[in-house]
Amino acid sequence: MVEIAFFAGAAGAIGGALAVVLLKNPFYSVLALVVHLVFLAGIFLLLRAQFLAAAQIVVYAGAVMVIYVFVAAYVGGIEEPAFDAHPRLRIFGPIVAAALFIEISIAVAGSALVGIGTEGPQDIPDDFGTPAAVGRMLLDDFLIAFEAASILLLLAAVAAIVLAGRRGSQTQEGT
Amino acid sequence: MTFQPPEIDYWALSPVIALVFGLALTVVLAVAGRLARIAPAAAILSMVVAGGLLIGQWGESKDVIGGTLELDGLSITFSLLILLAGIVAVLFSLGDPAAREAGRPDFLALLLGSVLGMVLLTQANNLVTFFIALELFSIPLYALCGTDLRREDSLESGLKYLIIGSLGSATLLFGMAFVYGASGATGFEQIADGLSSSDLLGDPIILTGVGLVTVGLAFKVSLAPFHQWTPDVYQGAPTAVTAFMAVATKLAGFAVFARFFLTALEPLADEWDVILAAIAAISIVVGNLGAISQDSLKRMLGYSGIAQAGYMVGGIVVASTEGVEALSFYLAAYLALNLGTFAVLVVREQRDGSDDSIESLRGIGRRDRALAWPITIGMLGLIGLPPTVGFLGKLYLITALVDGGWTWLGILIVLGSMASLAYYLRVVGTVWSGETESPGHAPGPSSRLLGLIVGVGIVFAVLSIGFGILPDPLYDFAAQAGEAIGSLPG
Amino acid sequence: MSIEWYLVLAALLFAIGAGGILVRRNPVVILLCLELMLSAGALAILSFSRMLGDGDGQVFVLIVLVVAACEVVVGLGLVVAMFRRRIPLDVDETTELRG
Repeated sequence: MVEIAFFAGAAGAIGGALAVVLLKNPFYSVLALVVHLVFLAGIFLLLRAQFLAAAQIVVYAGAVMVIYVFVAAYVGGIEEPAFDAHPRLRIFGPIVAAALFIEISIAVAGSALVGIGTEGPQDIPDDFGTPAAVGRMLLDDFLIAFEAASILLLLAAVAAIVLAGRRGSQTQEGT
Repeated sequence: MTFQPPEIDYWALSPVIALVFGLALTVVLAVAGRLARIAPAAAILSMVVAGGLLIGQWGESKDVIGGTLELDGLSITFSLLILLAGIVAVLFSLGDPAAREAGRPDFLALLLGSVLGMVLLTQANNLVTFFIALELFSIPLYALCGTDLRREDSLESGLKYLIIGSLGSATLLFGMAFVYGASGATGFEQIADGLSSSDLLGDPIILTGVGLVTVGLAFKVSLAPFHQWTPDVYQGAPTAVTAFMAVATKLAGFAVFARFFLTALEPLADEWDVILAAIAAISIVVGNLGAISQDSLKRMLGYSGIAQAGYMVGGIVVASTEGVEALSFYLAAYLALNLGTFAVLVVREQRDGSDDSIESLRGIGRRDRALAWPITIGMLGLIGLPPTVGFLGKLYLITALVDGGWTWLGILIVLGSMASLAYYLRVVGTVWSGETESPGHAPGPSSRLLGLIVGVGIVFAVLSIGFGILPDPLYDFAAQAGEAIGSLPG
Repeated sequence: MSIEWYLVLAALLFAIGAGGILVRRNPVVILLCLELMLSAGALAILSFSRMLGDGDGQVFVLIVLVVAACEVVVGLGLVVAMFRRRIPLDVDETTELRG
């Protein structure tokens, strides 16, 4: 049962990822990423990361991709054939990707790490992956990371305003 | 269920809090109408206060929050240098049209945010804080590069930096995942325990993890062969931002490089030191060769920065206390020399409207001594000639390398420095020869502000010579950083 | 399914993202590929988190989601700013900066 779920999720995630890279119309690529993220959330569920799966869908596939959709629509799809890149890169790119994949897979397969060949301990606490568990850690062990992340979000908003905000009507900017 | 708040050492956290206050204030000032003009003062004040709070804890070594941040000699020394770079960057930006156009409080908020991220990064003692602090300093910096909205290459440089920087971050993240998996922990000390207590030292998982982390960090501090972005981005960004980037990203990057590799990955030192040495060697060669043919001063400084980063990696390769001390000494020297040079560039750009070509400096030796001397000293110091502090810095690094058994890398530093004569001296030659045309006039900054920046340049030039002759205070300063990485040989 | 499978999947997604960055020229698509790489890293962390029974990994991934979102915001901000100024949105064409 778990195997079926895994392969279905993996197929969807890989398919979505390939579609992002290979589709000509950037708008379709954006939509392909949404599909990829949904399937990836399914995989997260298999790893007992239920809060993160939900957060991924809500925050990422929900909010972030909406930004993408708006910008893709605004900027206009620049249709480009998928393999019209600089001829050297056209060959070099997939080779580098393949090399990366093979190298990492070999490292994983050849590792003597205990537990990597298992499904993970079966006796983990029931609240593993729940919002309560993650939330407690955010406010306890990783408080500073939590606060730094909120500051980062603020700065991203400031940056977006600086870069893309309209300046024409702002005469009294106080600079 | 019960909730235990973490142990927070507020006194240790106070510098960070001061910076956050400054950041919040500048963001609010962006909408405060006429009050916004105090934003630069507010930014500088918050950095000064943070610096003071750090100095107040000089010599201590403590955990700040639950093991995720560690305030010790390494973080205090590097953070002080970063704050200094930040303050100077604010001064440089005051006359810069980019900052004005972007909305000055917003620009300063992004700058403060980057400084905050860097300060946190020097203290990071856990993979999670490592990652978030790295991104906190990088993301505002991507935006800052692009703030000169009228210039095409500014926006392009921002996007280029973002793409390549994020590529580095993603690679770093994947590497961190493997280190986490192999060691079973996210805290640096726990990682070291996890690695040394298992039989995994040569395991492909941990090697892949370390390799990917190295690649990711190499992107961030502009080491070859992951340096492609550096000259382009340095040239395209507004000069104040380039000055900040050139110095502060190396400070923050090497701080965490040292802490992560020498604390968390210390059990594996025999595996990674060769890789880092190879990267150092490639960077020294590529950086020096690349700089020779550049006509743009900012691009030249970009390439030379790659070589300089290569020298600095030597301090980590040795994996000894002496190496970390040499690294901190050299970075302090690098800061003074670079910012002195950039002060001259900024004044030329803002007062005389010149571009950043080396040619534009021709003849300043005759007309403008106050600019000619700082840049000359900066160039000579970056080559590593006595009596500048650059010479002592290189000497320190080479000594540490030889003591650590890496003599060949020390020799390579000497060769690289000799090669760098070709391009640094070219600048000096241009400055002191020929006639300059009468300067163009760029509208904008007041002569008082420009005088201040010239003063900054002169101060750094004086410091470069002063510490070159009487280096003891700087040696003590650097020793603080070395002490923090306690249990190492040497 | 043993953890190895999840890690290989993460490696594949990471590689696809990396290949995409090298091959594609449209900055919006390149940003999408960066997201692919970051989520691959997140998947790897979660796999190890499950293997170790350790919750730290989950907090890590939550932070990664935040970081990815912020990167996207700034990246798209730059793209919009470039578009407004009629700068060609093609990273191979960004020849202004070639030394």
